[in-house]
Amino acid sequence: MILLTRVDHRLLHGQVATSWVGTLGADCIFCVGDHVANDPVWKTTLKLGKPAGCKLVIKDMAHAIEAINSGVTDKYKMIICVQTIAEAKQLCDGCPQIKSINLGNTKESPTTKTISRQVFLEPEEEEILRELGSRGIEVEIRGLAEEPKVDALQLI
Amino acid sequence: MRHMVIASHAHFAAGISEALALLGGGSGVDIKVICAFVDGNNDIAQAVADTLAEIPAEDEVLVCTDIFGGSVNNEFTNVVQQRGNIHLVTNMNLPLLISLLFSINEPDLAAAIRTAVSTDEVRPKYCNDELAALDADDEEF
Repeated sequence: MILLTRVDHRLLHGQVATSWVGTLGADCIFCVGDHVANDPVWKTTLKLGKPAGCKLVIKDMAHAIEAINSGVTDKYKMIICVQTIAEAKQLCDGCPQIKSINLGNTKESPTTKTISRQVFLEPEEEEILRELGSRGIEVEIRGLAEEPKVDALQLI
Repeated sequence: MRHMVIASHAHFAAGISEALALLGGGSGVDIKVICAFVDGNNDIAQAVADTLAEIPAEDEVLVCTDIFGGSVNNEFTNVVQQRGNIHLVTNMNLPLLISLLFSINEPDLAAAIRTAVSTDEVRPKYCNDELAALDADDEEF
């Protein structure tokens, strides 16, 4: 079961490992992205820092979609982490069962618009979110699990 | 109701409380901070008394301090002998505080604290050795 699909440019880090895993009772973290899957140093760092009692699987986008759709992930209480909004859309396109996206941390740049303390959107990312919203996918902002959901689509 | 007090020499308590809020949250928990021997806060006994005076005597308090044998922990060691409902933990670090914060509403707080302080996750780690011991294989579903 997918408990959360989170956009976080740092993937698995303190907020995810403590607040989210603890509050949701996850037993598996699935880091998805072509970048991380091909970066052995980052993969090692993520593996070292994974929370106790939690499985950590790292795959590129194509293999991740294949794994989710095959059903092998169903038995886990799983948190999926992707780095970017574009990757979240790829995942939603490939896995229609994903109906909600959590925006955790996105990168700030000179061209981003600030919509929360931790979420910054490029113009093309706003477009992606509008499209996801029009398909009935929830897009909510929460840094930590205890925070109330904020509807990102109301802020763009 | 349960309360947390985080106390230290200098601004460690304030800093670690900020980090705790960033990582663990805790917005629903009453967390009080004592930074001793800075900002004119030189009377640790008074600071402790003032902080505890804000908490009803029947409420349970989880106090975390910086170092065993230090004057901050020593002052709370005096208090714990005289006032009930205080649990005193020292040598605090961030993983320990996160673990305690998530345990604050456990029915048996003393048991939850014993578990939290004895887990491997709250111990310092030499990461070079951890890396050397890491399984090189990728996990699969």
